[in-house]
Amino acid sequence: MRYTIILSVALTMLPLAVTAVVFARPGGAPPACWERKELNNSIQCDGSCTSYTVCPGRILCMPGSTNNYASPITYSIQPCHTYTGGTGACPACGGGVLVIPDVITTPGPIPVQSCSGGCP
Amino acid sequence: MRTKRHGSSALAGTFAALSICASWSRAQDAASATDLRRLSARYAQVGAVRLRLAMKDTAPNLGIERHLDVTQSGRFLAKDYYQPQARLADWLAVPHYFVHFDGHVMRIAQPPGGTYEERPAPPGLMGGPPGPIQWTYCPWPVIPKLVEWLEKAPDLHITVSREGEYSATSVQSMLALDWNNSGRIQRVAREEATGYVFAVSFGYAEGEAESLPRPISLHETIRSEPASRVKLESDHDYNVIAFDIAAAGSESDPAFDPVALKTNRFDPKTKDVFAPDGSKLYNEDSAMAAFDAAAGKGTWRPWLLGLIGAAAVLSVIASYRRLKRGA
Repeated sequence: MRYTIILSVALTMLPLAVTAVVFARPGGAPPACWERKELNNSIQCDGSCTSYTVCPGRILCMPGSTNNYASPITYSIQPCHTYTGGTGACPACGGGVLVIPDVITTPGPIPVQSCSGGCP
Repeated sequence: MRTKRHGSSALAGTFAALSICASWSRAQDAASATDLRRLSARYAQVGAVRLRLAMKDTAPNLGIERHLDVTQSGRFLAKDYYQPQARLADWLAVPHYFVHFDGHVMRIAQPPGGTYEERPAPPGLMGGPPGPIQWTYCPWPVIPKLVEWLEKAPDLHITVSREGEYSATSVQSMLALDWNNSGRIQRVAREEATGYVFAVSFGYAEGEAESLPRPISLHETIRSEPASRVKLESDHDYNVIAFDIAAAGSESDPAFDPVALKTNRFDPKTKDVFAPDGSKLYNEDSAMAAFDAAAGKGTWRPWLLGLIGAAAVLSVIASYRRLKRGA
């Protein structure tokens, strides 16, 4: 009887232990602060980079120093960033003046996570 | 006879007017070349300028500021603050975008500016026209350099109006510089034959008696309509909310402080992101993969999670049955 109970408990706990191992995060606790980061960006430009536009493929909260809260992921259309007077050669354009307010948006909804609050 | 005399008189008058115009033009052209050099000498005493601009007539609750620090050597730090909905009281604490240039390396933020990347300055950026576009907002410290480049341009064209408005342009240099006889810079533009224009015009207070003109407003014009580029047709007015001049010799180069800018360095080759102290924060590709996994997209983990859950349920049921049989 006693062995049966021990075996039952072990059989119940085993999958939970496996789950904990499989889904454990390397490096311990997640970072306390987050930064809004645009990823999988696509660029529209010509050879000179005189004017070019960068559109995010997704926006996620990455380890950083500004925000202490990262929301669940939602999907929405987001602004792209247009620059003028950039340097480099397309598609490796960089710098220039940011044209603000934004004039172009992503062609469709993208995964978006918002980061808010304030880190010390 | 009367008509002929009238026609002859008119012809003589026209000729006299043309002669006066020609001599005026010759005199003014000579004066313009001199004044271009005089303009350069006037601004040679400006070591650096700190300029703060606030966009006018923005949508309700929208906040946009551009901050520029430019030195005579051409080094600069340009920061844009952008608050689409004015939700944060401290929206001026962290720039939305920035570019820092130390003469060799450009540090360019990726909006929103949580990360930046370093790029060597493009060859020739400081060696010839038109120079970094950020100078256009804050040209005073680099007027001597712009004048030097314009003077070397084979297609330099200088005009002057009767009102004392000067204009020096070079299509090859993609540069245009307008000023008046009191030394006020009226307009700086980058113009391409393709129709691309990036121009900044400056407004000044009436009756100003400063030794160096201080602008009070600024108008930014952007035009771009090439087939493969984004069409730009943008006009914005700004108020000058701060304008500080450092005399030549007393200026210091704008420092790059990633801690103050709250930004981390992104290495585009490895996609690693580093904190200001040099420690690695994360790898962009790995972090994205982890987020995808957490979101359950196309990975094996959700399936494994389901199997483990099912196994746990079956184990509980089996244990319960065994206990029941044992009882």
